[in-house]
Amino acid sequence: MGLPEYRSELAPGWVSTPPAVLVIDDDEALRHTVADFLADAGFAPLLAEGGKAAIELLRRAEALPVAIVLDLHVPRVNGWAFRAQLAADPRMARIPVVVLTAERRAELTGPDVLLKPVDLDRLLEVLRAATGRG
Amino acid sequence: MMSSSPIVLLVEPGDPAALCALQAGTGYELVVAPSAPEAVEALRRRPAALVIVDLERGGLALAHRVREVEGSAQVPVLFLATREQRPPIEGPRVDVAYKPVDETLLRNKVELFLTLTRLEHLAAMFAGVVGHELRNPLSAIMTSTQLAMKRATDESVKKPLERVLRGGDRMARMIDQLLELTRLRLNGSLTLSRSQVELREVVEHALRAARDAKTRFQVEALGDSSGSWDADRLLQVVATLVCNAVEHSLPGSPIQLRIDGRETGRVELRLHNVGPVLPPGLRDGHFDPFPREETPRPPRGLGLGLFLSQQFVVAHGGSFTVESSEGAGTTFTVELPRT
Repeated sequence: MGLPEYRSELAPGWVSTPPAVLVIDDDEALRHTVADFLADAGFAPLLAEGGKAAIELLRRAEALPVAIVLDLHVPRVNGWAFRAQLAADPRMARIPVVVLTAERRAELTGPDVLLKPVDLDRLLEVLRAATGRG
Repeated sequence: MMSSSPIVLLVEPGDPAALCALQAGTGYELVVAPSAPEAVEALRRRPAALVIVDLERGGLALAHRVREVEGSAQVPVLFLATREQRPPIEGPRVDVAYKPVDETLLRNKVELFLTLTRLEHLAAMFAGVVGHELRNPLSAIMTSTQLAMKRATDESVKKPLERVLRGGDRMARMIDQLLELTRLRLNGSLTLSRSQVELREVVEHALRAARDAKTRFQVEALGDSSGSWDADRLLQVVATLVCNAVEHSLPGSPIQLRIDGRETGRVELRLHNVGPVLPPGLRDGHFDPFPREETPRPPRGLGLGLFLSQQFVVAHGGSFTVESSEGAGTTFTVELPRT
């Protein structure tokens, strides 16, 4: 997964502040609920309603989030295009992405894909596994 | 999909009057296939809204052959026949026009079938759109309720939230079913995405999701429960059976699940509950997604869920059967070949 390397890039002292998780979803209610839940679970949520806003936020961020929770059907730069942009940037390519989707399609399966309505406990489980924060 | 004119496929035209009548019709594109292979080829290129065959020219075999083409399993068939012939007009989507054909009558029949196809297509598209649009607000409701549940410390708050979640689960399942039915109706068949699956884990997942503290489940697992199946569809089957059992069990009676993987080629799942006997139609294993008026309405949620479950299992090459009687209760048996 390359996670140890990725962590070493972060600024010293980050351990004492909650690790950030970026939540990208165009449904405002869902975005805020997931963010509130992640805050309860000890993460610092960052919010974006679409891929374009998310990329801008990541470019500005001093410390990168430890994970991204991504809805695929978001406006402007959609989830697929966002992932492609992420992969093309060496600084961001290693951030684990957990996909949330309402679509039941065969190609959208895997341990990091969760179907909506999402089970919050499952989301936390997957996030912890992806970030190595048991 | 319906952006261009619908296709009417005339196979082996032997009757000049019929050909003439169809050529003069409007609102469709007439494709004439001189032979069966050419008809199959035409259907593979673009599905037809109606296939017309002549009984005097091997129409029956032709009709079977065109319905074997992927995506054309439910294509309507109009038979041209002489008065002496007994056309095989059993079942829906089949009609007959007698020769010598009355041109106006033939065109009217064609128009009727085209209208039917168009309406079915619209209904399916509508269901699909509604399904997708409903999922997002439901997602927000469900996720917010879960968060409220986690934050709530007061039992009197948790209880109603649990009810919201259960209602939401049921609604999410209904949306899934509606979309599956739409796919089935639009494509005429199911495409499975198989992977290595443990039936035991699917059952555990379905029981966790049942969110019912009052019901007792007794689970027995024997042998190897793995196979190459569509995990998502299989979960829908088990979840449907579990939810039905929870809803229709006598209070206090346990629901028994038995996974039997002792045979090499297949795995069997049995689910038994004690409760009211199933209505006659269902008891015979005829699961109709939209029961007709004259048949007694199945208990809530039984119709579509069981119909789809049966379709999913059959698509895996398995069998989906039920036994239900007064006193003994209801037992569903799902048999799945491992590959």
